[in-house]
Amino acid sequence: MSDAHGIPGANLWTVARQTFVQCLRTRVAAVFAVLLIASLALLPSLMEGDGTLAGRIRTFLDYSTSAVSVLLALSVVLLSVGLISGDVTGKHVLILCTKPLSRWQYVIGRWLGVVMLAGSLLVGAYAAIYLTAWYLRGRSDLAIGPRDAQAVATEIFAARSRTQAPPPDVDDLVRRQIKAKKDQGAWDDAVDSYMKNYGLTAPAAADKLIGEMRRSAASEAQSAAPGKSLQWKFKGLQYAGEVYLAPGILAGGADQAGVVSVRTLPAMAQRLVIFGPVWVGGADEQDSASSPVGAVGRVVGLWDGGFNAAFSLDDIKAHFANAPRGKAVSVIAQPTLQMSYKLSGAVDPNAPPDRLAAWEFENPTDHFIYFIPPQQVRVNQQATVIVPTAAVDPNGAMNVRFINYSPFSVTVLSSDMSVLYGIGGFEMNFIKSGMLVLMGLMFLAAMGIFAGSAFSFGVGCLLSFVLLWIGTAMRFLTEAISLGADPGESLGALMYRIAGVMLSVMKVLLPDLSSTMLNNFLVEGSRITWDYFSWAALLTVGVRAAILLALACLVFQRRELAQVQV
Amino acid sequence: MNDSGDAIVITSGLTKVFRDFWLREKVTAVAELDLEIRPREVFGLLGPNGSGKSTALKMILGLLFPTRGRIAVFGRRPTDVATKARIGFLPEESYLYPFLDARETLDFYGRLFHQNRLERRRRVDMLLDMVGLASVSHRRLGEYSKGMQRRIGLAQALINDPDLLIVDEPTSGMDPIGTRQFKDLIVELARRGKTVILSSHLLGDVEDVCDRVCILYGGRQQALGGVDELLCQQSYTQLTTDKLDEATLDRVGAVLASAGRRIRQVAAPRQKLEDLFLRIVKNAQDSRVKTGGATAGGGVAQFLRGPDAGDTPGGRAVIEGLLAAATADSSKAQAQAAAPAAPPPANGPADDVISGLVTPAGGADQGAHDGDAERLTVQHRAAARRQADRDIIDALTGGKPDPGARDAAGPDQAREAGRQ
Repeated sequence: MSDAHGIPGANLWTVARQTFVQCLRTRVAAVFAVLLIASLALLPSLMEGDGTLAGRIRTFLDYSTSAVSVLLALSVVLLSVGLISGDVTGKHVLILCTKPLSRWQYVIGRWLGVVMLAGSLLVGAYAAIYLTAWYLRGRSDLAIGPRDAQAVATEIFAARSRTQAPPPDVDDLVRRQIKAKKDQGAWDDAVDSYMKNYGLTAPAAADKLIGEMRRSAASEAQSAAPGKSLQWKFKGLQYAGEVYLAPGILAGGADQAGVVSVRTLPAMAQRLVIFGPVWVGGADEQDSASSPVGAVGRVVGLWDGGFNAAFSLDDIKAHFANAPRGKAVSVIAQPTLQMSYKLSGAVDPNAPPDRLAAWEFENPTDHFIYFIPPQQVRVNQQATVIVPTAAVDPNGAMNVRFINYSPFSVTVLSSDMSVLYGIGGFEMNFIKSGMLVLMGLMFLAAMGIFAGSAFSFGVGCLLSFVLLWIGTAMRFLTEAISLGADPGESLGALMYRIAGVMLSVMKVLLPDLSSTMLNNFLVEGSRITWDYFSWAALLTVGVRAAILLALACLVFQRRELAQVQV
Repeated sequence: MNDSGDAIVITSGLTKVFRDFWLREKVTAVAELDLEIRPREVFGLLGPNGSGKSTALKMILGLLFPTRGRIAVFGRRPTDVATKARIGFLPEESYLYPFLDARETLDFYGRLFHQNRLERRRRVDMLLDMVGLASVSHRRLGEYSKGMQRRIGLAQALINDPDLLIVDEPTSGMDPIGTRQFKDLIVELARRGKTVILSSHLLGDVEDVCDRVCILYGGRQQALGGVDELLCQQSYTQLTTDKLDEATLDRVGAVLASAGRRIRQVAAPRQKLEDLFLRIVKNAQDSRVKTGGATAGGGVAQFLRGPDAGDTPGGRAVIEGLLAAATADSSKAQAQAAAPAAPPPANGPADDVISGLVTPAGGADQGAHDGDAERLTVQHRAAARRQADRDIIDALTGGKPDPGARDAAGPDQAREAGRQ
């Protein structure tokens, strides 16, 4: 007999290939493809978002990637549970396991097959999403003004890094408050009342009291009364340093206010911000049109295919006094960064839903100030302002000030505030986002394979779907349990503590699927860092999926495949 | 490796107890089973439903773990992957993937044995031809009838040219052609030195092909031994000859009476239904009647045959050979019986006796055909008269060993002939 044996990779490939074919033949892939095509065909026309092109694309990316993740997650769980449990109930294993095929090879091969299928479907789906998104981007007729087109370029088709606003430092304030209370002799009374009210020991009561004082101080430090301002100091803003250069034509000479009109490429117009800096060179005969040297002005108006910029009188004299209309110039724009924030405030039936908010961004080194005059901003909704990078010093520092022009108090929580800036390409980010989804699917496949190797199809599905739900709702559950947690000794408190312990165990066993499978990186245009990506790969696949697969192999190895139920 | 002398499969005190969910003992499927299956033998596990045959086989295959006792297959544990490269298994039903076609199925299992593409293709072609599924090899198995699924199941069991073939209820669902072909295959594999374990409750299958059998009941071994040893009724002698008229029968009776024997039964032997069926199918094939199912199949795949087997003949020639062999089996006895009707060698007074016995029936001229032969059964009275018996046999056969005696002795003559 010439048959060889003992090449594990060959057997793994054979089983994986067989699994792939099996899934295709059982029409799972076909059903998925039909649902996906229907989704991609309908979503762009059904989902308009906030009516802007950026909103439409953002909504499309959000719904389409979520739909793909959900469909694939369900498919993968059903398939992976059904493959091994189906082989056992269908007794296909009786033949398979009498071949020179180790049981671990069978289990891992099945997993690989599901991953291959999920990967193929994911690649197809993401390719379709990418092409559709690019198609939508090209629909400039749907864009509402240059600001909309600019948002598409800088906020969606971008990979931006996010720097969270630093939390308010309330330590000194709380320390002073405690000292004051102690000086007044009121501190011990407050602790006593906490001990009585919550049934706590003295140290626990003091901790709880200090925690509440900190929350109160933080809330106070992030609220601005009418006419008052709030300040933050951002550090480490390492934006990509490329400037944008484009040709332009003087559409109008300098007027009496020192404003010059320049027609330029739409792509350049999309990169300029109102009140942001712009360089125009080559207007003077002595300048070369291709030279970046020129006058720096402030953009005061943006229009389709051009802009108006205000220059100092000296610059007007030096560069534009003799420049004829139609003169070729070069236009240079800096990269921009976006600040995302949310105004919080109690819903007051007597107050309008909008607040007048102004922003000031200062370069702490050269004191360049970019000011955004007061404008109406809806409370409790995320908003974005675009900031020129001139406001950031070479060390990546930027001071930000919010001025409350409304007659009501406004709160801006640092947790709701972050600065985003382009740091990488959209395509790589898109691929990484897909890979994160694939990692989640690899984990789900491992979970399904484990459930299928240990239990029947019904029990395996039940177990897998419960774990899928916990993995997806991990953040919600954590918040819910932490909010309801009570340090007391009541039965409810005990239940919360038990739930907390169980959730801690689940956090170790399960990845946070909402941050991998349902990630918002594409929607937010946030860059997926290699650190985050590597850790997600290591923990989701390298540790958690590997543990489940090892358990599956162990269980299946010890299982009597021809067991008779009596 | 213990191909030559040592037992291929050894079980010692093999016991399997099935338990319920609460681990309470429910059924003792196999109890204290001691087996030693030798190389090159066809071993049958016999027993009624629930007697423990399949459970024993599945423990040998490592699909069930013994509660007590030990098993060694090729000197290793049954779960050892290395041993499985030398085993072929056909379960009681064809648990194959319904979404694959026959060719894909065999290709898949061939891959598990790390056969290269050319080798896989060669074996797949031969096996499909052998089991008669070449013309429907691109239909998915889910569309196959049960018998066709058994055929493809058999093919997958042979994809690795196994040293040990384990078959569980092999002919259930198979048509008579497939059944006959399967039995011929077992004979051929045994001739090549393969070991076969066969579990069945179809006694005819076991009797036709097995060297030794173990009869199980209630999970316990009730009998173990060679088929001939267990089945041969030592107290009777059976002769088959051309049809005799009453006068000849009276004379035979007289001869026997002189030796203290009597005729126990006079009957015309019946043709086996299997042979009749095969002949009808052959006629239909000769008439080129179309069929959408399995064809009769080709000969044993070349890679399964011995070095002296020559080239694999074409499918049609092979089935004709198979059918001819099948009909020859039934007529062999008659042909052998007809042979003495030719002028017998003059060996003494016994010649006269035998001539006198057969000539009046005109047997030689009539040839061997259905219903022309009659079977005489004489009772063997006592061991002390064995010599007298031998004399009578010598008288009836002209004093020479009867060349047809082996044919009359049992239906496994084809296997014996094949091995010689």
